[in-house]
Formats: sequence, C-alpha cells, structure tokens
Amino acid sequence: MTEHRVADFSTDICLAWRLARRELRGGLAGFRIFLGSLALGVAAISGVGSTGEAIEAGLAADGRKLLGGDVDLRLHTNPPTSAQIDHLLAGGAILSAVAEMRAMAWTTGATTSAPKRRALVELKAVDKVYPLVGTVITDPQQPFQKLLSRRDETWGAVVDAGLLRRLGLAVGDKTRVGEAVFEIRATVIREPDQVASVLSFGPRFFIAKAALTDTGLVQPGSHIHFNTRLLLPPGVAFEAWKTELLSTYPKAGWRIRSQQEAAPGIRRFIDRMGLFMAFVGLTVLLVGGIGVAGSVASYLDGKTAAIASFKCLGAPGRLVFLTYMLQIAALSVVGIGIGLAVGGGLPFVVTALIGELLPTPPVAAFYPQPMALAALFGMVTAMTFALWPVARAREVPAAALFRDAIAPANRMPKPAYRWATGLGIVVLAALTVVTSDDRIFAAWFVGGALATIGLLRLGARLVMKAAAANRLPVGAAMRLAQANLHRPGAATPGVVLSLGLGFSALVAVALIEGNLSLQINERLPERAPAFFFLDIQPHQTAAFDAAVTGVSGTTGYHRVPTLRGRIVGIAGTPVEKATIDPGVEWAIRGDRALTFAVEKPLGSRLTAGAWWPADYQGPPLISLDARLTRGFGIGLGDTLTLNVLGREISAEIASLREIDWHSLRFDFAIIFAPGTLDGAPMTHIAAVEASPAIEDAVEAAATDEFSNVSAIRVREALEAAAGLLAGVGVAVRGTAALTVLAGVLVLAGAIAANRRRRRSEAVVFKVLGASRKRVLVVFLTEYGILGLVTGVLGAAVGTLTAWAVVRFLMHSEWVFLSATVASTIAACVAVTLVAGFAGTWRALGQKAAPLLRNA
Amino acid sequence: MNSNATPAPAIHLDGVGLTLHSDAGPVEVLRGVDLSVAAGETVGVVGPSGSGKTSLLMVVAGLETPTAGRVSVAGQAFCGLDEDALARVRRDYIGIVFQNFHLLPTMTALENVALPLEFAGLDDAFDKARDGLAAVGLGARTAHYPGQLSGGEQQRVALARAFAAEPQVLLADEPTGSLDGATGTAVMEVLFDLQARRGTTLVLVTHAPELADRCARIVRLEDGRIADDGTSGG
Repeated sequence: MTEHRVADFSTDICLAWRLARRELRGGLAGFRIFLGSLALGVAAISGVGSTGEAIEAGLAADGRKLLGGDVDLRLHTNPPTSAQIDHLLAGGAILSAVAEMRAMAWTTGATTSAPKRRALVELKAVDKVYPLVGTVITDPQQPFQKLLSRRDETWGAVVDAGLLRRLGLAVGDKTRVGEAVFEIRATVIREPDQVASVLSFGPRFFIAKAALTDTGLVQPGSHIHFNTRLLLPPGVAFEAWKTELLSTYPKAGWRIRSQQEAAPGIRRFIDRMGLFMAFVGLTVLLVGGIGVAGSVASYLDGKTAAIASFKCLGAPGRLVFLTYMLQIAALSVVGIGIGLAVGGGLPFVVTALIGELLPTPPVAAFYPQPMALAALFGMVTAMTFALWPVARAREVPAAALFRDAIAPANRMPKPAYRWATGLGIVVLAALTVVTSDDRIFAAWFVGGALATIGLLRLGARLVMKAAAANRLPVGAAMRLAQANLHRPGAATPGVVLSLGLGFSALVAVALIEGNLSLQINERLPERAPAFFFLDIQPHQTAAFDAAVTGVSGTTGYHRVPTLRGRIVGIAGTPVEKATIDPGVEWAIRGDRALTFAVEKPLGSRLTAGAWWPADYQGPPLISLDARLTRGFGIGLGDTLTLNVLGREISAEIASLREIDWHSLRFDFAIIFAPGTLDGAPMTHIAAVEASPAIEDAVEAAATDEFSNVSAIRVREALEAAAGLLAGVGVAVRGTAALTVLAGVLVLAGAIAANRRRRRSEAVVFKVLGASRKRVLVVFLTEYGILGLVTGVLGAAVGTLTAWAVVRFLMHSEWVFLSATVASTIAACVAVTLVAGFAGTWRALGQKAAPLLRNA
Repeated sequence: MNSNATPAPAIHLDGVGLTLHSDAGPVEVLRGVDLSVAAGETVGVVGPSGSGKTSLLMVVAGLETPTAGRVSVAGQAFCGLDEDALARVRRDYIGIVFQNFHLLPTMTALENVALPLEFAGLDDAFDKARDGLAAVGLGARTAHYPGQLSGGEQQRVALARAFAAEPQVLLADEPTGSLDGATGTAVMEVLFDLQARRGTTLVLVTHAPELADRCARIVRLEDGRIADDGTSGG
C-alpha cells in the first residue's frame, strides 16, 4: 500500500514536472513581478550580508595593522612600569609605545598675522619604532620618524589637513601644544592604526613620544591612554601569552586586545548596522513575498481554463497542485539566481565606489554563506507565499472555475495546505531568529512584522467595509473610485499590505532617525553647557574657576573631581563571566569616569536606597545608575568591583539614581562616597553655559592660561555626531526605500493583473457615454484614494513602530514629526497615482469596437 | 411650421461606407448604406454572417467612424465629432445591448444599471436604477454580481442598463445569441415591452427570423449593402 503511494507520488511528480515544463513554454512574461519581487528581496538580503562580510573581512585582513601589532595593551593614566616592560621584552616580543590624549593646539603668532586660534586635537605621541605594522602615508611623503624628530630645538608634528584649515596654518608653520612648540612638517593621509572610532573630537596630531614630556600635559590623573603594541615571537599563541601575562600581573588593569579584536567600535557599529540592514532586507523580502502571492494568484486566475481542462480530463487536484508548485519552484530558482547575482556582487560595487572612504577597504569577493542564506530565505518565502493561491486553485471544482474569474467564491484550501502555509511562516520566523546575531532583537522584529501585517490587513478590511457600507454623496468618479476599493478582486488588500508595509518601514525609519537628529540638533536642553573642560589639575582649580566665571555672560559653572576606573567584578563575579544586558554593555567596555561626592548631584533623582551622610567615613559605598543595576541584574547591597589605577576596589551599592543623559548635565554612572578615592591622583572636569557669542572668549580664558586643559565645544561635538548620523541616515533610509520599491512592484503587479479588466471597464464606460477625461478621472481618483488609504495606514503603523522603538528601546522622548509623516503619505499617493496612470493610460486609448466585436 | 411635415428621423444614414484594415488588406464592410429610421420605429437587421450587421450597429452607435457618408442619430450629426463628443451623444440618446452583455463583473447589478445615470450626473441614479431593475423583474437581485446571475438575468440587467437613461434609440446586437430559446424569448418579451412602453426607436440585429419578425420593419444586409428593406411579415 505504502509502496503504491510512493509510486503514485513519484509518477505524479514526473507527470507534474512534464506539465509544468509545458506550461513554462509560454515564457516568463507573465512572471515579471514574481521574478522582480523575489529577486529584489534576495538581492537585499544577500547584498546586505555579503557587504557586511566584505567589510568584516577587510577588518580581519587589516586587523594587525589597525591594532598596530599582534597585541595591544592599554593602560589609562599611567604607562606600564619598567618591570612590566622588561617582562614583555623578556618574552621575545617587539614593543612600541603610543600615548593618546586630547589637547588644545594653538597658533603661535610667530608666522601668521591671524589672531590667535586654538583647536581641540587628538594627540598621538609615538615612539621611534612606530608603526610596527604598516606605513604612515604623509604629504609630503618622508620617513615618518624624521618628520617628528627634533630639529633646531623644535619638534616636528604631522597633522590632519583639517587642522591646518581650522588654524589657518600651512605645512612649515609652527603651533603650540601645552608648553611645547611644534613645526608642522606634513599632513597625514593615511594612518595605519587609525583607531576606527566612529566619532572623534578633533583632528589627528602626531608627535614624537619624547616630545610629550615637553608639552607638560602628562600630569597626575591626566586623561591619557598608554598603548603598548607588541609583535609576538613566532610560534607564540595569543591566548597562552595572555594567560601568562595576567597571571604575572593580575591587577595591572590593562585592556588586552588581539588583532581579532581590532577596531571594536567599528566592528560593533558594523554589526549593529548589519543587523538593522538585514531586517530591512527581510522586510523587502516579506513585501516581495506578497508580490509573489499576488502574481501567482493572478497567474492562476489566467490559468483557470487550463486547470479546468486538466480536471475535466481526469487530473486529480494533487496533480494540479504539484504542477503549479513545481513551476513556481523552477521560477523561484530563476528569481533567486537573479537576486544572488545582484546581491552577491554588491561588495564589488561598494569596494569600487566607496572602498577608499571606509576605515579599511572591504574585501570584494563572493561570500557563499550570506548568499546561501539569502537563497534559503528566498525559496522558503516563495514557497510559503505561493502555497495559498496554488492550494486554492487545487480545491476548485472544474465547473466552478469558469465562473470564479467573475465572482470569486469564498474558497479555502484544505486544512493540510493551511497548516503547511502556517508551517512555512513558522519556518521563516525561526530562520530569521536563528540566523540573527541578536536573537532577541530578531524575535522582536518577527513579532513586529506579524503585528504590522495584522494591523495593515485589519486596516484594509475596515477601509473596504467602510467603503462598502457608505456611499459618498459626491460625483460619479469619486463614488466609482470608492466602490472600486471594496469590489470583488479589488487591489485594496494586496496594495495596502505590500505598499503599506514598505511605507510603514520607511516612516518608522524616518521617524526614528528624525527623533535621533532632533535629540542632537534641536532638542538640546535649554540650559545645556557650551563647554566641557578636561584635565584641570587640582592646583589649578581656584584660578581656573575664576578665569572661566570671570567671562561676562557665563552661567551654570560646575566642576567636579574625576578619575578613571574599570568595572572588573559584578556582585563578586568577574565581569567576563557576568550576564550583562547588551543595552548596558557600554559600561564594561574600557574605563569609566568616576567621581566622589558629599552631596547628591543637583537634579539627580534617587530611586532606591539613601544618600550617605556628609561625614561618611566607612567602607566603600557607591551610588549607581539604576539602569546599570537592571542591566547587571544586581541591586542595593550588592557590590561592584572597580580597578582604579591598578587597585581593585569593591564598593557596596548604597543608592540608585535615574539619570537623564539627554540633559547633558554633569553626572556619573558611578559616584563614590567620600573617603575611598580622596587620596587618588585625579583631575577635575568642568562645564559652563555660555551663548555662542562669548564661546571664543570662554575658550580663551580657559585655555590661554591653562595650556594643559582641553576645551570641548559641545555644539561642535553635537554637530559632528549629527553629521555622522545624517550619513548613516542616508544609508539606512536608502535601504528602507527598497521596501517601498518592493511595494511598488507589488502595486505594479496588481495593476497589471487588472489591466484586462481596466480595458473592458474603459470601453464599457465609453459605450455608456463617459469621455476619456472622465474615465481617467475615475481611474486616478481610485488610485489616489488607494494611495491615500495605504499611506495613512502605513504611516499609522510606521509611527506606532517608531514610537515603540524610541520610547522603549532607545528610552528617549518621543516627538511626532508631522511633516515627515505627511510627506511620506504624499509620496505614497504620488507613487500610487504614477503607477496607476502608467498601468492604465493605455486603457484610455482602447478603441471600443474591436473589444466589443471580439468579446 | 407645417404640422404635417415629416418628423426628423431618429436615425439617418446617408451613403455610409466603412472600410476596415486588416493584415490581409482593406475590407469594405459597409458600402453606401442609406437608411432612415423614424422615431419609435422598430427595425430588425438581418443577413448572413459577415454581411455588416454589427458594423452597421457600431456606426450608428458612434463606435466606428464611417469612411464615407454621413450619420445622424436623434438629430445629432456625427460628422466632425470626436470620441468624447460621441460618448456624450450615446450618454444622452443611445442605449446598447450586446450579445455578451458587457456588464462590469466587479459591479453589482444595481451599480451596473446606475452607471450611465451617474455619467449623466443624475442625483437619483440609484433610485432610477432600482426601478429599472424592478422593471425587468430583478428587483430582488440588485446586490448580486453578474457572476452570480444566470445568462438571462445578466441580459435583463443589460436591458435595464440600456433603458436606464431613457434613450431615444436602443441598439441591440444579437441580444439572445448567448441564451437558450426559452430564456431568449423571455428576454425579448422584456425588451419589446420596454420599447413599446417608452416609444424607443429600436434597431435589432439578429440571426433569428422570429425575432426580426417582431419588428415593424426588416432590413436585410448582404455584402455590406442593404439588399432588402421592407415591412415585417410578423
């Protein structure tokens, strides 16, 4: 019995394949939308995946160069001790020392008549063996060490060309940093170990390590990163070497990175962007899936006679189902192939177009893994979305097929096919979650996508019901257009779902990005500081306070002591082994600014525990950002262990605070009670409010006399962040626009599917006395209403999504950007009108007589 | 004004010729057809297939432009009218019934019938359409789509639509061609009843002699020419 079934199935498959091939003889003309939808989705997914891999491969290939060696050891505030250096050298490693800090650079006035100018720079002091890996490219190109060397009592400097523009200097001019004067000998074109940091506060300023002492900037507690780069001897494995080093210096407090961990900031940025883009790609495929369903349904509508004939000639429903599913599978292979060719080739295009602009050039190649994943997604999507219309066709009795084109009966596929469709959706969702780097985020995406589809379907249904229930008391064109929204076979559900999905994604992305920009650009707190000042030495505080507050017009001056420390233990568990919410991982990456305070900072809100008494002198206590405790899974009474200047301090959490970081007010995630840090070498940081008109005067007052103090202009830093965000926004919105393109494809499919109907409608309208203008008005009104309805629904769902993301994922204040939403709705109407017109204008010119004769 | 003067004909064709162009070359479908139909007159047009019956109807409906001669319907000369102007003439004066009904499949019976009235800008289009459907015995099927109606019912909807705007001229092209005998007869009863009640000028193209016989006048077309024009024997 079972053997017979297997044999039957095998025979059916062979026969179905023969029939499918015959059906395909008609060519691919009827499958343009199908192929386009599938290819676009697969191209988006494989393109995003392949480009991400290419960039990752570039980073991996350049990891050694970016890191500056095989290993990077980083210490804050103090350089490694000579014993530590000796230990490293004894292991046979080659060392290079680099110190990095922020500092102010001035014009000296000696070679320029321009008024004294100053700029915050990213200072990098390098030793004589720098760079261990790669080459610094300069203009003019000369031996790098020679450019930095001391000549005639003056040190050399190699700087970013941007600094020259800013200070009005040229190569050959002199500039001062701290107490030392430097001759600018070249500009830097390419820095091999450019810390691929997404955001920097100033242009690069290279000096020799020996010159750093002359600047006088190395003060106790100054914010300096001391990096020691090593080339390990051949045959030494990094992990074993690291274990040995940590066992020798367990409390040195250095951050150890291998070349695999080079540029972690960029890698994180690329990972997050890649994750986001991957979801956009999946949305494109999802919209494409709707296009697949629509085009398969439309194709099968045109095949009713063939299906009826099959059935009349004795073909069972199963054979019909197999025939068309095989046909869809074969076509899917073609669509997926086109998508893979485009998406898989994207790294070549990206490398050619913007490879030079990226921190490391991507490695242009075909990446099989993302392409295979995209192909899998494509095939599962195509099969899942095609299954329903094919299963419907399978269930139709031959006799009913003839009338179905006019009045589709309310057919449902058999339960097995319904289950199979459900299973396909589950597989797609599971595939999305399982293959994502962030499964929780992926699960939210799946949930969000399903909710969005549900909302759009509900919206479409409500609109159709409302259109059917109410007749507008307006002209015939409007009424016909309104009626066309709910007619049998109306394009409303498909277009609302597909184009609505595309536009909801676009609205969501635009609103999230708009809210982010607003946070940075326009929603600055009314009393935001104009400056942050770093590295004020304890002996300078009184004079510095007087200098800054002495500038007329400054307000809100505030100064606190600070030093750096790193979280190394959470409630007794080493930080590497602790479970930490990704949202607060930033707190354990590198050093954190610490302070101590007698009084609770102004504006801080305690949410648990109590602030310590002013005269507290007991064991270490800290007040912690409440969000950190949630992310660390700890609470009041637990301990946090910090490495401060090589010393590990375990402090009990005495109170929790809710901190509004958007206020830009001075605040610290970790505040110590008095007593623990009092004796540690520390510097002070300060902030002051000032109008733009007096910013130059404030900067002069703060830095002329105090050459070791760095002044960060908040406005400029925010502008830099806004600029970066704008660039990212363009890329993200560009990708999100692909979802709209996919939606337009579906719309075009829906219009194409109805073209025959449109033609006969146009003819009958004309026979009944309608002018061409009137027919056009009817059609355009219909598409206008459809576009408006779709735009409004898409905007509503997109706004809801953006609101949820901004409020609950980004914990930011939500602002409804009406202009963004209105322009998106207008774009939706315009797109629908254009597509509608393009698809129906031929119908206007349709001569009545031939159609009436042939009917 | 002379009260005995002959009233203007509802349809007047003067030397009408129609040449259609196909891949095989030009085909003269109508050759010098002269025809005058008085208001309220019923005319059956008969003839073998390819004799030009449907083409004659298309020309009268303004759906084909004659290559020679002049056409006027309800006093409206077609000469020089563009496509949109001809559409207005149809809207105001002409109703048409087709063999294949040409109902819009996605509109209900009521919406199909209301369509010409809506085009005419009537506020009570749907009330009139409802009356029209009741007049053809389909008062209970207003919300049905064509696909949910039988062939006979569809043709009755088409009749209701054709009569909805109370045209002066009704053109019917093989209105029973797609129907079985009994249904066709029933539909024709409705057609002639409506025509008689409203005094509509009727031009009926048919292959069925018994239908043609119900018209007061029979015109026989052969090879694009009027071969015979006489009163019906029925």
